[in-house]
Amino acid sequence: MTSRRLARPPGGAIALLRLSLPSGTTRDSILEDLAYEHRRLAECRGPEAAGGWYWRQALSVSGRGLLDRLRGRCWGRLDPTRDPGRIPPRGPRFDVLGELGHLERDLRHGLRQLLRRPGSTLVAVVSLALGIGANVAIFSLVNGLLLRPLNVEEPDEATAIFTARLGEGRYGNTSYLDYLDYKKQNQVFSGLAAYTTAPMALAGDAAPEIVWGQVVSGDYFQVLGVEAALGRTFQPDEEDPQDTHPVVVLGHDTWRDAFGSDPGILGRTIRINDYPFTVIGVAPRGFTGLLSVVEPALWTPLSMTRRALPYSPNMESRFDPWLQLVGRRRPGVSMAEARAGMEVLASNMAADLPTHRGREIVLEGLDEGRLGGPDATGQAKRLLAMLLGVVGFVLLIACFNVANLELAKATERRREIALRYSLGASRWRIVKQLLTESTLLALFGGGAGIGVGILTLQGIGRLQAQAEVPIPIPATLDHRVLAVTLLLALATGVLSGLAPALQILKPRQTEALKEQGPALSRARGAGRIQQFLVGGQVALSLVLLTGAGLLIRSLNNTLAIDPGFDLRRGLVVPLNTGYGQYEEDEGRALQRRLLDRISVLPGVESAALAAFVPLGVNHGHHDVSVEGYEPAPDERMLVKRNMVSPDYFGTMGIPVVRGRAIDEGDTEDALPVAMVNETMARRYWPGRDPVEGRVRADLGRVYTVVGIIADGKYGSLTEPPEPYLVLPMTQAEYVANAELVVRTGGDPRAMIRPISSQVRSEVPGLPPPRIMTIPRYLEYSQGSARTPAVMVGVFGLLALVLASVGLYGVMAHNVSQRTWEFGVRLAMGATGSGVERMVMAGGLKIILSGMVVGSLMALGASRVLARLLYEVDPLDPLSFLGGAGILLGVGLLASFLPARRASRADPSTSLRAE
Amino acid sequence: MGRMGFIGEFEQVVLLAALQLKDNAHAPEIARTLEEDAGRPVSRGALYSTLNRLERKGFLEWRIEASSEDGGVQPKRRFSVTEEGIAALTASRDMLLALWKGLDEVLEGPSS
Repeated sequence: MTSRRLARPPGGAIALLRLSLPSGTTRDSILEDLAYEHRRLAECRGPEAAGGWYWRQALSVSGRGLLDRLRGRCWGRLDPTRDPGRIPPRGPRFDVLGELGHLERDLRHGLRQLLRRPGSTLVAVVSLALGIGANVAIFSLVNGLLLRPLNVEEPDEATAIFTARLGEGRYGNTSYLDYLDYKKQNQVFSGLAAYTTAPMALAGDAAPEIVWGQVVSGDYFQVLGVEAALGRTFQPDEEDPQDTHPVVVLGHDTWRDAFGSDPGILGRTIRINDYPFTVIGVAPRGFTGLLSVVEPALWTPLSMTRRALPYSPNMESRFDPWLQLVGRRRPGVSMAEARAGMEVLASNMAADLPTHRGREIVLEGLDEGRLGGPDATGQAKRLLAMLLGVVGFVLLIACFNVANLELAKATERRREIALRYSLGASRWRIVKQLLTESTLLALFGGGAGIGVGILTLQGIGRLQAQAEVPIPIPATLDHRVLAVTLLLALATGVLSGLAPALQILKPRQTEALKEQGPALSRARGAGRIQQFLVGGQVALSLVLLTGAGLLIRSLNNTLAIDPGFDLRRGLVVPLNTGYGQYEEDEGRALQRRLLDRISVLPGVESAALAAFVPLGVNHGHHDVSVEGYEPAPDERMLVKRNMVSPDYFGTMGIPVVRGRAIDEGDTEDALPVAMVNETMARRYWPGRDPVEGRVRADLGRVYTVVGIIADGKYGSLTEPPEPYLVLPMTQAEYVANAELVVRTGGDPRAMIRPISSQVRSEVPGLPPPRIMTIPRYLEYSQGSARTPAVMVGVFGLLALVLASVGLYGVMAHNVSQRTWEFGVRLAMGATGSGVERMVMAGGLKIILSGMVVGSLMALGASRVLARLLYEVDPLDPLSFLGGAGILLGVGLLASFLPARRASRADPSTSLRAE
Repeated sequence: MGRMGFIGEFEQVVLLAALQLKDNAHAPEIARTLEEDAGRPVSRGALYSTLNRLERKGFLEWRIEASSEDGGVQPKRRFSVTEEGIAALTASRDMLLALWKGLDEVLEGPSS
């Protein structure tokens, strides 16, 4: 009998019926009935008629079925346990109260689970605390340096203005006369203010202490749109003439800390640099100027420049740039238009003043000036971005640890989970519960992480070099940081709970109940994810260790740089007579007296005065002209110059290579003499002997070169060689903030107190000097190399520890899961060392695959580091091999212990355990 | 769980058709009986809705039989009238007969 091709009803109509009728026997039988009738009709009247009939009936049945359903009369066999009048819900409903109830249950259950396994919970919380804490610390830095609002009005309309001079950087300061011209001649700013920052001696009721203060133009607060919290700010007429308006606005924190938030502060007299000032206002809370790294304690107007600043800028000169500028653009003027406008101004000025040719007026947003200028801000951004990447890696490694722990726990709890599943809990319910547990863990880790973050910040603070006035780490732990911490903790919780959750979602749970199959196959599934996670940890750790290696080598290279002086046992004593109101003669005499007194102290081999000690905080440039040298049209003759007392070169250990050093004979009335370094000699006396040559420098005086010193480092350790001019203090411009350098016979720290008391006895009104040993002093110049090396090194080690713990944990868990298998192998004749080798080989496979991936990532990461490295190839083989070697060694050790345990498994015990 | 009450006209004819079909009372046969023997067109929606209603009232019940056309085993429902259903039909008939009494001249005899 040939098989008949039975006519089929239209698929669309069938679909309609399926959609509208509840699933079950009734629907199936209705479909069968209609199909039967359709077949009969097709035989009698043909398939088209039958199809039409079917559609009509399908519509009728669907319509009736839906109608009855709405009336609560579902088609189907009556279920005595159900209320026949109720329409059953279609699919999952979202029930808010139900969900909250679940959450509360999950949290309680999760907490119980965590407490049941205190060991693994502790490891997880500590791992997360370290990972999150590192992120909190770095983000606090980012917040304090770059994100914290400046609290000025409409910061987007405010602009930082720099003067770029030929031969110097783009982002230079501006002289007072140039500032006045910019202000008068510009068309684009509604206000243009100036400010400078300097250490000042503030004395309220207590003894004077050194604080940061700012000298500002009269419209500074108006331009920034900042109103006083108490009293008033400055007025434009308070800007000049000099010494006429001794008024001061206090910072809010200073008013609180130094004056106890005294409501009667207005009108009080306080002393700044031993000069009386009247308090006229208090700045609003949260306003701390435009620099992230300095929070001024006070502001005073430009008319008090001479009194407030420890040096005397030349307000009549266009070549003494000492002011930073900020402007507020007119409404509707964009940054591009402002730039164009100032370009025109610059070229107009160049037309009038030939000396201003090649100058540029550079405009940037306020954020670019947060660290003094876009160069410094850019550098900080790069460093912080790198550190964020580093701590991000550390957190990932910690997350992977927790994920592995969660996986191990889930494997152990598979029976419990399978039971819940079979009792009706949906997969999604179980996953939600696991994620709640891991998030709870992460929230604990996050809380502890804030504590770790605070400790880390304190550690970073210790890396900060000392300066005359402490520059605190501007790390702000505010709501932004807390929000980021919370987000990190939640993300970490979800991420680390994903691995076991994904396992649960695989539809093989019922097998777990039956416990069939040897442990071998059970371990495979979860084991693969664990191995992947550990491999990932190894890769990330390798990147960090390699980076640390590169930075450490760079640091070594930096420390090995010859600074050009040889003073190992010595002290630097800042002597700023600017903190008291000493006229030039008094100041010079005071400096001389102190030098004489300290030189003869027991324990002091020699002492000298200098305007600048190399590698200090600042060291300005100076215009000179050299007789017989014609500068090129574009060439600026700028050199760094110092003023020193006679014993300077001997005290500092700076070799004199030709001629003689400055000595006692070079007095005020004698022939003005100078010394130059080798670079200056080569540049300005090419092929000639500079000795007896003449240089026009300070105050227009002409100096005769008497000696040449070896090149040294003056600004930073990594700078290229620069020309350097040294003049006797007696024959050069007076410098109020000089430094005393002391060479000691024994331990320099022992001399700090005697020298300090000597200074205090000479000048009791001045704040005590912050005396530094030479190594401490040099930390400032080494900081840019030391800080990244130490931080990445520490985080790299942390990552290594976390990854080793992870590897050990996974290997140990793996071994314990495979006890049965090892027992069988040993029982069948395998040796203990054979099993040990097998386990180690498994561990080695994970480590090596992680290292391959990690090496590739490290190659990319090293390019990012390139800018921070000094004379180190980003692909330096030693760093790469070193990192890999350490990782391999530690990894093998972490695998060795579990391997040992596996080799010692007693076959009979293991087999019985299964 | 039945309800002693009067049943609607279409419900009556469905029950009567099911009784007539005896062991062959599947939904398609009931529909054919109504359409061909009683001469009234039946939409399947109305039919299945009524079958459902009669089951809820306890006048009808069904059992699953497996049919094996088209190469597979498909479920088919075979309906049977319950005792309550028969009692309801009887009550309906008696009520109609009582109301029809004395109206033989008005109502014409059965058409042949």
